[in-house]
Amino acid sequence: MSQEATDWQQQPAYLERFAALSSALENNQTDQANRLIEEMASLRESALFQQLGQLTREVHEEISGLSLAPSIIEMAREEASNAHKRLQYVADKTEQATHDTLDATEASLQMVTECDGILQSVRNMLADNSPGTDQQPFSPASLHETLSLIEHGSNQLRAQMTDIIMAQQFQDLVGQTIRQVLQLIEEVELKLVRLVADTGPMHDPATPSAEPGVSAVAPSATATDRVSKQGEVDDILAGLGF
Amino acid sequence: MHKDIRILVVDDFSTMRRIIRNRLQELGYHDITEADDGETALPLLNAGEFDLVVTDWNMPRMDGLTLLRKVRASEKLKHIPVLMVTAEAKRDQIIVAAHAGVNDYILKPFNADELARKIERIYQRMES
Repeated sequence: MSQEATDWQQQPAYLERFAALSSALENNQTDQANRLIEEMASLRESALFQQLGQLTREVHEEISGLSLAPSIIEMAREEASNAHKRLQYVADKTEQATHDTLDATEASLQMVTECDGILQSVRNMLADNSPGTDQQPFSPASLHETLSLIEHGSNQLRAQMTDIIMAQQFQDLVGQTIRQVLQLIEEVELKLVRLVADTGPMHDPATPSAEPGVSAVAPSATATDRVSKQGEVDDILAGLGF
Repeated sequence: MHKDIRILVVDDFSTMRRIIRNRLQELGYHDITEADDGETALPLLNAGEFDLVVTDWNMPRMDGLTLLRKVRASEKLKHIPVLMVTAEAKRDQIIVAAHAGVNDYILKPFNADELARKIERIYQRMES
């Protein structure tokens, strides 16, 4: 119902008091004139409250008509599914990187064991060629073969170490995904806060704020404001009595 | 290819910067500077003489694509090759980066040889 329509309905009451006011003023009846003016002001306030009440009812009916409950469920289902997929990705990547690291480490340890064997065989050859023994001299061919084995092991070890380093890229990918999930949770939280602000009970403006210096936040005023920090979310919730 | 080129590595994750630095050093590049986003990288580029930028896409404050566009829009910097190393796998994004003037694009996670191959390719193209 519009303001004009409400005023039109009140017109006879206004006219009646206006005529009485004119008469009172002409007859110097000041008290009567003041009373009539107050009555007219009261009439206007009454119309305003009627209009506000009507508006509130219409908004409530509109929101109810939107079937918000199913939409909330749908939103929660979609967002939860999205978050679940992303967190599953985090779990998979972490698992894969751990396996890659362990595989490379186990292979490296095996190579270290093989290198130990080569070193031991070199020691044995040196001992066999020490003065006073009857063994064949330490041949350049066997030395070359031993060095080639060590070189091969060293290259293999380097490759495994590089694999371990490269596997750590998972931290970047996982970190990005976790950031996205956190953002998603924040968005859902904000949507729910706005929803509560839109549909929750009207806050009594006479009720003082719980915290000094923090005004009680009217739900309708916060519905369109964007908040970016957790503290702001908490303030809104506190203003709603949470 | 000269191994004494100056390289700027831009990534918001210190782990990834460390991995790229490690790989570059393994490849023989030792003049490496790091920046954690485009906002930090741009003044470094303007202040120094860099020969290659290796940048991530998704970063706070200024992302890699914006950095790339600013580099290409600058008379002083536009000649510097830019290699994008990113997890952004969408075709459209790769096309956007290409149109913005990226020299090459590596998808994370990448293997150890990929970085060498891409840098080599960038300089081969520049020399031809």
